[in-house]
Amino acid sequence: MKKMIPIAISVALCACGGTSVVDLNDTREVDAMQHVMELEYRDWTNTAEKMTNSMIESGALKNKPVIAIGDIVNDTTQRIDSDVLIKKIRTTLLKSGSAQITTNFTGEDTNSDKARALRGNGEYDANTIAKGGTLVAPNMSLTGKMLQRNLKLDSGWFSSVDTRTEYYLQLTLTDLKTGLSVWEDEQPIIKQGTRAPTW
Amino acid sequence: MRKIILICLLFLYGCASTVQSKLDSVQNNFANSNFEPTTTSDALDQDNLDLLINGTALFHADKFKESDSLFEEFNKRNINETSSSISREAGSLLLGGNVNSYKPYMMDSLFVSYYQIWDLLALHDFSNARVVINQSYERQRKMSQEYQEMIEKNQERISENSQIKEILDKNTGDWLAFSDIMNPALMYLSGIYFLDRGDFSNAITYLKRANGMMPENTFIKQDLENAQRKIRPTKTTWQFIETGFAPRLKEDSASLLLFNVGLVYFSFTTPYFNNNFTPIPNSELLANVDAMFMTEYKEYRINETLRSFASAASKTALQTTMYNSGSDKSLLMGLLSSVYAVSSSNSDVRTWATLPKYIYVIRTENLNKLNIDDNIKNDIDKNSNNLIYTRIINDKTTDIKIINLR
Repeated sequence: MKKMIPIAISVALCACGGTSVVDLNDTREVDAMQHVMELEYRDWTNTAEKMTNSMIESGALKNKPVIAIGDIVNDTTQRIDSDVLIKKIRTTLLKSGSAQITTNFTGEDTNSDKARALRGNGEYDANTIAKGGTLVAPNMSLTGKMLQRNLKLDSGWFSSVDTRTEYYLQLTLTDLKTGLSVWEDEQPIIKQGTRAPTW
Repeated sequence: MRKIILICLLFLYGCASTVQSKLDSVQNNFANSNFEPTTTSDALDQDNLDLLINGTALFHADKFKESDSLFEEFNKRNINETSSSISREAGSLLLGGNVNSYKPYMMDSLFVSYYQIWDLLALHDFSNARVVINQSYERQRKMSQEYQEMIEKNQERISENSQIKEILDKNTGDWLAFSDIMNPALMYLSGIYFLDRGDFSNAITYLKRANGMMPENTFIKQDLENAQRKIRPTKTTWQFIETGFAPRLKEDSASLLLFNVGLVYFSFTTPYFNNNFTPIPNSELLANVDAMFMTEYKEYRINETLRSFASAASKTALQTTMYNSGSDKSLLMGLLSSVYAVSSSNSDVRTWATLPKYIYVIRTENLNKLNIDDNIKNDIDKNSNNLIYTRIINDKTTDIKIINLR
């Protein structure tokens, strides 16, 4: 029995540290993930889902528009790649079949231009090269902004919570023909903890 | 035995001057356009001061990504410039000021943001430049608050130590300082960033602050007016010119007679200024780094000197006890305690020695007014807005970076 105690303690200590992989299909495991003051997986996923549903339900996509993804201004104090949010929205929109996304117009894809540069190149079968006038121009533009505001809280002596960080993720869908906004949404994410994320 | 102790004393005295010679060598390397980092070790293993010096060196060597990543490592350390840990205080008290890792001045942290913005603009990474501007705003706001708290505390503490105050107040007549932590160059650069992008609301915020810090500067005023009238400048070039080196610190000492203890010798630091100065035609002063440094240094100096005095007093008491112990070994113990007292009483003379003394600015639509050679002017796109970073270290060394804002 005495021998078992140190072993049990060692096992318990080992279990405390180390790396673990979260199963994203297990909602209980995702919910149990430790919370942080920075934006993290759950924030991106939830926000993207709410934004996409809001866009679809608004009726702005009824004619299956071709959307050009524009600038998402990062007005936070953290270096965040906006693709974390946008990729999720794009894939959901494409899967839903309610919109199309242009990658040539925004310069994300350079191969469609390269493929056109092959015209007249005898090494390639001319029938397999894209003809002139086949690229589709966008008729809508999606732009946005990520904002962060850090607020100091009046906390008590024994409270470890002294900071509130408010994030606002804003998106706007503009009709390129009229220049009018056809859909807009803002999703706030509010977090409270000990230190505002600055880096 | 006495000889050994004397050799130890000389050796330890030599160690105290190592920091000075290291900083001299860093400045000499800069003056000779040698922008190689002082260490090749991983950023995680570098001391705070190495990160700062090497970050600037890499920036001057046009290695902007590497420079930015060293500054990011510095940022991630989340150093609180005004507070101190118990272990840090104990280290300083027992072993002297240079034993701990370098504790940056608030000014250093603001210069980190300043150079990071230049790094990112040079990389045309405008998105992350904006993030760094946001960080610097937050940083400056927090520092300003902490600085005011520090002044209040210091006034209280120094009023209880009038003799030390008298020593510290000697020869400080020519020290120029501000009433708050600030970096007008950082504010102006941030203002230009937003003005160029047509973000007038943010431009006004930063330009107003820069204007408040440097009310004489007409270029800032002109840009603030533009922002208020929602006019985006075109074909305009802003040239930031850094000259000279920021103040350095040297060790000084004084003595005070303490009742029951005896004469207490204690060390403190005194700044010395680099006075090589060449006027820059067509420019206006944007930042007086000497004054920025003095603004906070004069406050830290009070803290450091009081700590040094307390430490010296306790060590003197130890020496007196050892010499008067009455044992056979009292002389030896007394000498050993003297070695300890001398070796552990040094003040921290470390500073970010490669920072400039002054920052000037030229704002013009006429390229002939810029402070650069004609052959370099050809690299400037005359049809768009440009930022030019210039570092004049001496007659031989000038570093110029032209950044097109298109």
